Amino acid sequence: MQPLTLKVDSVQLEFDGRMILQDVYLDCKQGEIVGLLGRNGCGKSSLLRIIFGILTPGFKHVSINDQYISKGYHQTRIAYLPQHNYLPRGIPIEKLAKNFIDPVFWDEFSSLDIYKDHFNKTVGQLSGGELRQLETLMIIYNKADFILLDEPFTHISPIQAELFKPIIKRCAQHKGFIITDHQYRNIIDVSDRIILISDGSTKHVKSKEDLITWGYVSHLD
Amino acid sequence: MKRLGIHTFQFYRLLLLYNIAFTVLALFLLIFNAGSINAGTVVVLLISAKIIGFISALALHYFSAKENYFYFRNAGYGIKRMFISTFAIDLSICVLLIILSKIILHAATYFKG
Repeated sequence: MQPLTLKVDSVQLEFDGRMILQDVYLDCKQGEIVGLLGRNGCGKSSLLRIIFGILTPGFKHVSINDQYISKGYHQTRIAYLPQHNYLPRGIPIEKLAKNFIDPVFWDEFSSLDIYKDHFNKTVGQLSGGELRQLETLMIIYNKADFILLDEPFTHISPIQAELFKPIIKRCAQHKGFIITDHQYRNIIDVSDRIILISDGSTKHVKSKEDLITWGYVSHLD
Repeated sequence: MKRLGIHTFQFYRLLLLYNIAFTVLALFLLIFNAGSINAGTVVVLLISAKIIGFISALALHYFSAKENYFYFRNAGYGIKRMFISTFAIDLSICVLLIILSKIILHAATYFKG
């Protein structure tokens, strides 16, 4: 089967008369990981929320294989990891995960220590770090064709971040990923290509030096 | 369809305690303010209490735990659809309980003589 392509074009978003996004184009194919970088407040999270369908901008055109979609989450086309916790309380993790995880990856997901150790617990019985790890993995292994991750490497330990990267790469053989985080080294490590949001528009980063040119970092290690 | 049913019951479960509390409160207030009560009035009061209870439960849940909606969206469902499905379940349970109580009351009267 031909890989699907998610395209996001002509997004215009303004808050209180200030234009946040005005000249945005990005695409992502299944089998690809696109890293999204940008300074605080540049509109990275807003862009992901627009693609997912929960933030309505002045204008947008989001399509999958040139078919327009208004709400990315309908029919599980797109999944989105928000920055905050999202799993409902009072329901065992096993019940939440069973109808949420891509059946193709169920064996792999259910063999992870974080799931095996906590599958019979509820959200309230997990620590903040454990919950964030589980929530992130549940989105990575979600059934959707495209996965949007908003700060997956924040609020977890470096060793857990290292654990996520091969999992994301493995799942990206079947899905498209768009990932944003302020830990840009992790984003560079895991991504096939990088897009920078600067002055409301998307810049396609061809080399790491572009990040200095466009003022995202002052130097590279 | 099975998945929708499971997620609808999960969503309904989140609202259940609020829903029962608000419905009982609404029922109490409605009965307290309704002059003479006949069988028809009881049904109207129950349905009204059910609607008020459900809407109040939704409002409280929205303000206290709307982050949970991301779970349902990521499962592929819009929140409007979850509201409608859970309300349908809630109303069905209410109607079923009304019918059951009518049958039990009728049977009790019959056996008494």
